[in-house]
Parts: sequence; structure tokens; C-alpha cells
Amino acid sequence: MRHIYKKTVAAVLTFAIALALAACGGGDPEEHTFDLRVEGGALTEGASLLEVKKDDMVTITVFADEHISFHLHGYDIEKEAAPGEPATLAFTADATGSFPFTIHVGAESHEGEAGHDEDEESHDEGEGSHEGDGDGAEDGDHEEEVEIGRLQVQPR
Amino acid sequence: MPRLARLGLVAAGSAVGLGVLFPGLAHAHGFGERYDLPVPLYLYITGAGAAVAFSFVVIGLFVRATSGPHDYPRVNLLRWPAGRALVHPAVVHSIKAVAVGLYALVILAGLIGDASPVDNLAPTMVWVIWWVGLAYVSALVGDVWALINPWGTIFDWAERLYRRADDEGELSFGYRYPDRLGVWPGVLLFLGFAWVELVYGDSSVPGRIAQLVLAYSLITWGGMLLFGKDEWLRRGEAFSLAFGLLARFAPTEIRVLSYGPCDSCPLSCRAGDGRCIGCGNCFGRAPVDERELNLRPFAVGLIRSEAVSWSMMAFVLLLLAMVTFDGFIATPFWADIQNSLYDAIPDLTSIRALALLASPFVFIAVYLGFSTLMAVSSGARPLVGDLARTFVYTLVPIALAYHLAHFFSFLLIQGQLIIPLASDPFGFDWNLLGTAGYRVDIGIVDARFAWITAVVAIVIGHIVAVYLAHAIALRTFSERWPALRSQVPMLVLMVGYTMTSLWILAQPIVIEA
Repeated sequence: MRHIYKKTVAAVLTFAIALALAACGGGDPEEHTFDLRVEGGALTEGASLLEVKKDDMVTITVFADEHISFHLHGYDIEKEAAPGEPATLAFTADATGSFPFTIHVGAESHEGEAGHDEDEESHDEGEGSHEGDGDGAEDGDHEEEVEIGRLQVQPR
Repeated sequence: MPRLARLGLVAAGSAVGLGVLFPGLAHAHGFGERYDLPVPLYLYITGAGAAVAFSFVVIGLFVRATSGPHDYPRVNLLRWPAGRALVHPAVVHSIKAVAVGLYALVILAGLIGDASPVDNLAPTMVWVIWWVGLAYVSALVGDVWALINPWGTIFDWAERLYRRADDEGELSFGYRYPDRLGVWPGVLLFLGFAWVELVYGDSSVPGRIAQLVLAYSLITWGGMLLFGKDEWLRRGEAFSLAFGLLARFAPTEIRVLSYGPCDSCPLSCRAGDGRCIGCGNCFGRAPVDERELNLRPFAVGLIRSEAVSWSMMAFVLLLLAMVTFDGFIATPFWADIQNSLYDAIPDLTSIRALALLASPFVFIAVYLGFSTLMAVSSGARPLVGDLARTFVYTLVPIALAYHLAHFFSFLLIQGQLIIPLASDPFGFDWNLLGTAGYRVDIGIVDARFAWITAVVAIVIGHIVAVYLAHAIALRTFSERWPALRSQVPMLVLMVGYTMTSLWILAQPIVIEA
């Protein structure tokens, strides 16, 4: 029985390694530009699902009809957009995953985010402060954050 | 664009659209955002195929085996000084003290710390490090919770103080725990916990966490006062039951060789064959040379020849349901169901609560259905109830594998929050250890690596489950062919459960925080 057990373990490991090898992609990093338009608190122009690959260079420009704050979660990049002054986010998508981006009306940046800063390269985790916003938030009464889309960074 | 990719985009797009419709729900899940990418189709299919293929390999082993495994290989770590050091009272008491310290710190942080979940120790410690992290440790290392449980430790300390006044006394009203209650109190409390994690909207609010922990502490100590500490831990303390169940999969166990300590053990800790495994009470009182801390193969703790109680079966199925429900409520499929129910029940929280309540019943119904099929296929006419209660542990590896796969990236990303929080647990801008400025690295685990780990884990969980079920079948039925025939429905159930787990992992995440 024992050597069959070993054979099964070997088979499973081979299977896993084969998966890993078979799945390795390639290609050079590309540049992607996305234009989004937000009107009345919702996305009116532009895709709600932005698909890129790891290490691609991404530029997102957000046009808005009112003063809003655009926040890309995960990468934790937040920019403000106003009529006539679109927000531009430019960064390298060096982390894979599915990252929501949200807007909220108003100019306040979110308080209470761990080490938050507006540096484009930071990958701060500031998400929790938006959760449980209904009752416990102490950062004033800015509007609720609305998810308007996702950035999906696929592995290469 | 390939058709499947278009379908995927539509699914993801509607997922996002629903997120816009129900923005307020985006936070109801323990704590912490998830950035998992859905497992791609080719991996899903490969995993499913592998699970089925390897199942037949396992069956083949049992068809040809001459006798079932009766005992498993063990290595007693206490034979080495390093092993003995692990169980030394000084080490044990230090670990317990640290655990109580963390418990107190979490409550304090919840009560007086910053209300923002990210800046406060409580949400990360409870939902990431403890609930998710300890599940990993329990399953892959051993029953650590039995050691670090702060409620037990604090009660022990209180009992010791009490004994200073009254030598013979026990800190308990001494009520006999009615056997018929089984572990139902634990089942109910665990259901309550599931509700907090999956339905309750304020689960990430530090103040609420502190209140809930305090409430649960009172309930736990109340139970201990009524029935005695060990009895309550074994019957009513939801997390001892949950982590203890996961720890059956783990490759370590504690064991007492002689019968002396067990005779005076308040728990009937000896399995049917007279062995005392996993009883902390006996282990603590046994003479040093009669104790073992064994390394053992994975999952053998889940093999048993006797039926568990009805309440224990319910608990296991509740745990399975909760684990699966956790992932299921993030799928577009569930979002559609919620959408269609919204007319009848215009409150998302209520919809989710009802679904949570229904899920264990669904699992129980399906499981009993397949147990009936097992009984019928065997041709030997065993009682369905006995069969169901004997085999229920065999599903645990599948749920465990899904749980580990589902939380892998989450633990590695959100778990990093503990680093800045260690320096500033209350959000008061402290920097005790110099790590307060640490920024979480969201790229710590590549999506492809996470996918492959997840699929491999699920396939392994499936193979282990099939193996366990066959091993138990050979012990339960006196003849080989009825045993093997009984496993055909079980295999169908397991393949179905594994496919469901893989399917959930392949779904885009909707309305998840």
C-alpha cells in the first residue's frame, strides 16, 4: 500500500507542476488607456471592466460632471475630478487581481486609511475604512462610495 | 473575442452592474476586501477531471487491498528534547498568557481604539489572523486552539483563585450536562457566529467586535460555571468544536497511553477502542512517560468506526454549509437570486439571513439523501442514520480544501495589515515596533500561483475524502463488496461537492468587500 501512496503523491505533484508550466504566458507589457465618464454618480461612458495584463502600463482618465473623488482600490490611488478638470491615473499594473474602483461625490479624501498617500506607486491597503461605513464611520458625512467598475489585472 | 471570454465579460459586467445597484451591501463579509481573480476555465476543467480520475485510482487501491488499514504510523515527538520542550509547563503557560493578552488587547482596541476598521487591531486580528489564520493552523498543524483558548485559560485562573479559598472546590454549579443535548448549544452558537460573519453589516466595526467578544465570553463562562469547564468546551463552545473538527485533519495529535487519567476525566474521551486521543484534560494530568505528542499522516483523525451523535453530524454539516455559503454569496448566480427575491423581500440583509439559515438544512437533506442511496447500494441494509453519522467526517477534507483555497490570497494580503497594526493597535498614531508605516503589498501572491494552489488543494482534498470514505466503509461493512458498492453514491456526492467548490472559485466576485 505504501509505495502506491508514494506513487499517487508523485502523480499529483507532477500534475501540479505540469499545470504551472503549461500555464506560463508571455508577451511584452503593453500600454492601455481608458477614458471613463461619470455623470450623475454613474458611469456613462467607458467600460466598467478594464482588462489588462500584469506589468502593463495603465492610464485611466476620468471625466466628471461634478466634483467627485475617484478611488482605485488595492493600488489605492485616489484622484479628484471636476467639470473641466479630469482626473488622470497613470501606473504600472504590477499586481494581479480584480480591483474595484469607486467614486464618491465630494472633495474629502478618506480619513483613517493606514498610511494613505496619493503617490501613484503606493499599494496601500486602505479598504477597510469604506466597509461598515453605514454606522461606525467617524470621518464626517461624505457620501457613500459607489463601485462603478473593476480593473482586472491578469497574470502574464 | 472567444465566446467563453465574452460570456465571462458579461458575467463580470453584470456583477459590476449589480454592485452599482446595491452599493451598500459591498461590506457585509467579516472584514477586508478581496482581489481574487476567478480561476480560468481551463484550470477548472483540469481540476474537475483530475478529481474524478484520481478517485478511480483510489477505488482501485481498495478493490485490490487485502486488508484495511487498522492503525496509522506515528512518531512520538516527546522522544526528543525539542519535543519535550514544546509541552513543558513553562512554555505552555507562556503561550496561554500571550493568548489571553491578545484577547484583552482586541477587546480594548475595539472599545477605545479608532473606529476605522483598517486602523484598529480588532477587525484584522479577529477576522483574518484568528478566524482564517487559525483555521489553517488547526488543519495543517494541530489543535492549537485547545491550547490557546483564552476563555478556558481565564476560567482556569479563576478556578485556581477559587481553590485558594476552597481546597476541594470546583468553580462550577456542578449541573450534570444532559447527554441528550449533545453539542446542540455549540451548533446554535456557531450558527450565530456564521450570521455575524456573513450577514451582519457591522461585522468589521471595532466597537461591535468588542461587544460581541464580550457577549460570547459571558455565554462561555456561564456555560462553564453551570457544567464545568471541560464539559462546556466539548459541547457548547462553538470554536472548540469547529477548530477541533478541523484539527482532526492535522498531522499531530496528543495521546495518553494509560487509562488512569481517563478514569477521572470528566469527558468520555476514550474512543470505542479505549484510546485517549486529543484529550487535553487527560494529557495535562497524565504521567510524563505515558504521554505522546505524535506526528501522524494527514486526515487519519477523521477516520472512525462509530457513528457520531446527531448533533455532531448537524455541526459538521453546518460548518460545511457555512464554508460553501461564504463563497456562494459572492457569485453572480447568487446576485441574480437575490435580485429576483428582492420584490418579495425588499431587504437584502433578510434575504441573506434566510439563505444562511436554509443552507445547513439543504446540506443535511442532500447528505441524508445520499446516505440513503449508500445504504441501498450496499445491499446490506444498514440503518441510514447510523451510516450518515459514521461517514459525515469524510466530507471535511473537501470543505477544508475549499476554505484554504478561498482564503489563500486574502490571508496573505489582508494578513499583512497586522504588521502596521502591531505598532499602532489602537490607531493613535503610535509606532511601538517601528512598523506603523508598512504598506501592504497587494502583489505578494501572483494570481496564477493562487489559482494553481487552489485547484491542487481542492483535488487533494477530494482524493483524501474519497480515500477516507473507502477506509471507513471497509471497517463498517463486514464484507468487501457491499462496502465498495456503498461508496458509489458517496463518490457522486463528493464529486458534486468538489465541482461546486471549483465552480465557486471560477466565478467573478460580486458585491464582496
